[in-house]
Amino acid sequence: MARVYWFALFLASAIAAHAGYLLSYPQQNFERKIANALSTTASNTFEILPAQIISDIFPAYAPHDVVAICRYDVATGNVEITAKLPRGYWTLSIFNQKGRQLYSMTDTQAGDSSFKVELSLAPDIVEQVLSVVNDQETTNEITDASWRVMASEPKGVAVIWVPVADPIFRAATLTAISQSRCGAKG
Amino acid sequence: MMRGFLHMIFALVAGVAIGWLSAVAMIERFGVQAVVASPLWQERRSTVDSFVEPYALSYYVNQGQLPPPGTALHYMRSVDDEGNNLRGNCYYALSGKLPEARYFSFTLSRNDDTRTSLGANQMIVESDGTLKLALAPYPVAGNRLLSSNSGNQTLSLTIHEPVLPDGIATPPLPSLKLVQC
Repeated sequence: MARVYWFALFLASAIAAHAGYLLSYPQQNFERKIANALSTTASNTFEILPAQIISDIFPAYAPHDVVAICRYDVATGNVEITAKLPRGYWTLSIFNQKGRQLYSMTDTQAGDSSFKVELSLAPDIVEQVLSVVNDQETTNEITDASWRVMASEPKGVAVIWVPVADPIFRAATLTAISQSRCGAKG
Repeated sequence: MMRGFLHMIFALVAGVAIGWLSAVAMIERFGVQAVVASPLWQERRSTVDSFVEPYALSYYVNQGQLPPPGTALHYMRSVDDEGNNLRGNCYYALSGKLPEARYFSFTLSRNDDTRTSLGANQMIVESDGTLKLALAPYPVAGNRLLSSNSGNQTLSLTIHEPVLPDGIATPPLPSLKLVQC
């Protein structure tokens, strides 16, 4: 009987350590490495990544591409991402801290070179139940020409990626992306 | 009493060690997968609809990276078709057809932590659709990625929004042969 007890204790501690490592260590590591890579520690602002950093963070992107990254935090309020990009292929990807892609949009999906995305924190399970009980509408409402994304966790990163067709277009692309905004919804 | 206490400590320490090591091993195991049709290429997984998804994603975030967007396929290889390491001082010839896609790019990561890349719009494709690319430390006619002239290197290929036939998850990938050292 004692052996069963010790084995159960061994098993429980193994499962707890496995889950604890998986759920926390990679995210903390990611946060630290992203913070070291970016020049600003502020949330809700776009930063254009230097070429030598791009492939460190995004192995799928080429160093000569233009990549802008915003660490968002919707804990205290909604965040609005607006951009007007050059014509051609681009993507907007929104990831949570676990690296899961919450949302993506390309130029063809947007249908236009400019877009606006409002990011908010998804209601927790209690709020969702209460809204059903009170017959309230909690689904996305599009009040203006923008997309709304609900994140289950308050923090993550939004990334705009533009492959530059020719080096002569790089300056124009950088200028366009530098005018992108990622900030608290006013 | 003392014996029971030691058993408890041993069970706890052994459990934590096994749990921690198994998490590290599974993150490494499920982050990349050899491509079935071209096993010398490895696919870096982005999203997986199964229990391995947290491990596959952790593979990236643990290295301070983000996975490829869901619309892209990302492959890498560090050996030639003979299974030998890609050396910076050698000339390799990559050849093959890529699927129709919105965009693709090749990136060569050198051992001195520098990278060079070529995008779809910077490359010449043969009239029959074949793509030829040289990896060499000296000038070569046609498409070329500049090697580092020393050490080993890794080649990666990203295909954005590929058009694949129904039931095909991985397109045929190009071969990479050693020309001379």
